Amino acid sequence: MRDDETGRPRLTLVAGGRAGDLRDEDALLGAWLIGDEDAFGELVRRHQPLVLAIVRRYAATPEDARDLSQRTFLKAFESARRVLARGGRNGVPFTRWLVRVAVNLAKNHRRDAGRWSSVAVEPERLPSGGTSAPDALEKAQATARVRRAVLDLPRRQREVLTLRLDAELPFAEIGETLGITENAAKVSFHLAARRLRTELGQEGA
Amino acid sequence: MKPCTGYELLLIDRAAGELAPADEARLGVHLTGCAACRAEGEALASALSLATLPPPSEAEFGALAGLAESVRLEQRRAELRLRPPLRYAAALLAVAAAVAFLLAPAFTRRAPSLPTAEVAEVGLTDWQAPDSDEVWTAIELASDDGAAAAMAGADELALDALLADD
Repeated sequence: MRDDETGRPRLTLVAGGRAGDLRDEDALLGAWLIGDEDAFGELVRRHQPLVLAIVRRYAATPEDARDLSQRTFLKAFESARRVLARGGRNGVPFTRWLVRVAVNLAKNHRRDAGRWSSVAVEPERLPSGGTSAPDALEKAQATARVRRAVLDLPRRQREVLTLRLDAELPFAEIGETLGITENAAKVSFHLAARRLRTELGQEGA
Repeated sequence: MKPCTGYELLLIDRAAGELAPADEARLGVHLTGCAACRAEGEALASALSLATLPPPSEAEFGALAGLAESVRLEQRRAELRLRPPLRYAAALLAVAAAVAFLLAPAFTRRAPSLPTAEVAEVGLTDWQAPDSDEVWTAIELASDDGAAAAMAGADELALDALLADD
């Protein structure tokens, strides 16, 4: 479909299931490559909850999470433009691409932040309302301990665990994203959970 | 206690909420008679429930407002940052053109003519070879004068030395 005024191809979104989503995604990418600003905005708005879900565990503040999200989109679009201009992306969906970029940036962010400070406690994420100050403090400390325990997991275990818990990706998709088998993803998840159970035994009891 | 072989992955799937309905029934039957697998399942669920983050806060969602626009803006900035080499090249070309324009008259002005071979030939024909006898006489006279002067100087020095000894 063409815009009568500009003569440029105009994208029309059609509701549909997963296959439809993937087709839409390709259509949106194609439209963005020829300069459709609406398609670009739609791609960002569609994926920003997923990107936020992945990066927020590594971000100390909401602004930090926004910065990581922005960098994720910038890097993913930059790679997409380069690869698509060369004639394809070997069947890798844009979503998987985005997840991979978000995981890598979050990992680097954590490494860089770790040089300067230990885990921060985010007041935005603390439970509020109806709790006394000592209770709130105790919960804040428990939250910080859990967060530290998750971030201190071996890289593969941490990636699998967070992609499952935060991004709610199925193990098959996690395996595809990280370049491992579905069973390997499950085993990493199991090892991560067991390790957390050991380290957070007091909280769990 | 370790969970039973063959049920470990099912326990993980259940804790992750990915257990297929067919496996749900099979695992349920097993768990009723296996304390080790029950304990493992509960421990996994407890650890994962602790590790699960609360839903994003209003502040976190709010911070994402206008993300698409800011990503686009940043993309444009990045594109502009890539262009300076082209801009520098264009500026250099403009400067080179200006310099060439200013210097062009100096190169196009007629250069002064050089002496021709004809003139040089005239010069050569005017030159006359010196008389060799005169040259040799002059050299001999000059060397005699020099030797005499040197001898006189040596005598004076010797006389001075004798007087000093006395």
